Amino acid sequence: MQAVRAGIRALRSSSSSARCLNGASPATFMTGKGGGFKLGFVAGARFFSQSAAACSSPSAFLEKEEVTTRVLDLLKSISFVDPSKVNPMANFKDDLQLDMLENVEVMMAVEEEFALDIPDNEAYKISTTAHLIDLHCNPSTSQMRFPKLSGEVLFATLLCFLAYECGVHQ
Amino acid sequence: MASGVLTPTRSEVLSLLRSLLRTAGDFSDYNIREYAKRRTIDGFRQNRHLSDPSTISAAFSEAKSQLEIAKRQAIVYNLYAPKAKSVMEIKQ
Repeated sequence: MQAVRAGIRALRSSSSSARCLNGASPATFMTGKGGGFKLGFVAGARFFSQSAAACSSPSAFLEKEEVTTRVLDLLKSISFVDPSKVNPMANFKDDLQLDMLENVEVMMAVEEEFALDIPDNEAYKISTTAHLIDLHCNPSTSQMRFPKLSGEVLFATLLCFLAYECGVHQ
Repeated sequence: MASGVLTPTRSEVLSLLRSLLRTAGDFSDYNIREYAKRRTIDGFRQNRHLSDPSTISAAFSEAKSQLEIAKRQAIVYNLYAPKAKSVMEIKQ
């Protein structure tokens, strides 16, 4: 039973910060069913918490320090960015001489690194490193979304669970 | 087969680039994913300085059709994605 609760807690914590419906529905679906389904659910929960750990952070807030270091490291690692000019106050267009295409590439790298989904209109407004850092510290301006893998993981989890349930009823 | 009378605006082109890059990231196969990202960036960079509206429209609609192809293929590939990851994806 503890495994079930741990699984539900993992689902809740990972889905509470995400605004996508994907995260919310299996949690409610599974708590709706009572009963002792141990093995199937544990396998499913382990599966799910693995993917939750795999995506960069389930919590909505990251520490500003950590965010700054990660953003700067990310910028330095991009090939067309001059690492010596990367600092928290750098303006993409003026200091780093990034044109529009490179801007988009930087946005995509950021999205990948932080598992965020930055909508188009916001992406165009980001023109300095400071903006990027604020983006992560402020959950209302960004939408956290799980990596696309989670849909399949959910499905697989539900399948395990259903298969076990059908097997158990005697 | 131009995309109509209007040439695409800068924001349309940029959002097409973002969609292409996002779709490229959806592939489960490392090689295809990296190639798709490289190719879109190279393609857009190559056509950066076009000025003639008809060539711009043609390039835009070609990119759009490539986007459709990429979306379909990402789904198809993911149906039978192999479990073993490429060696390049092993995190150090």
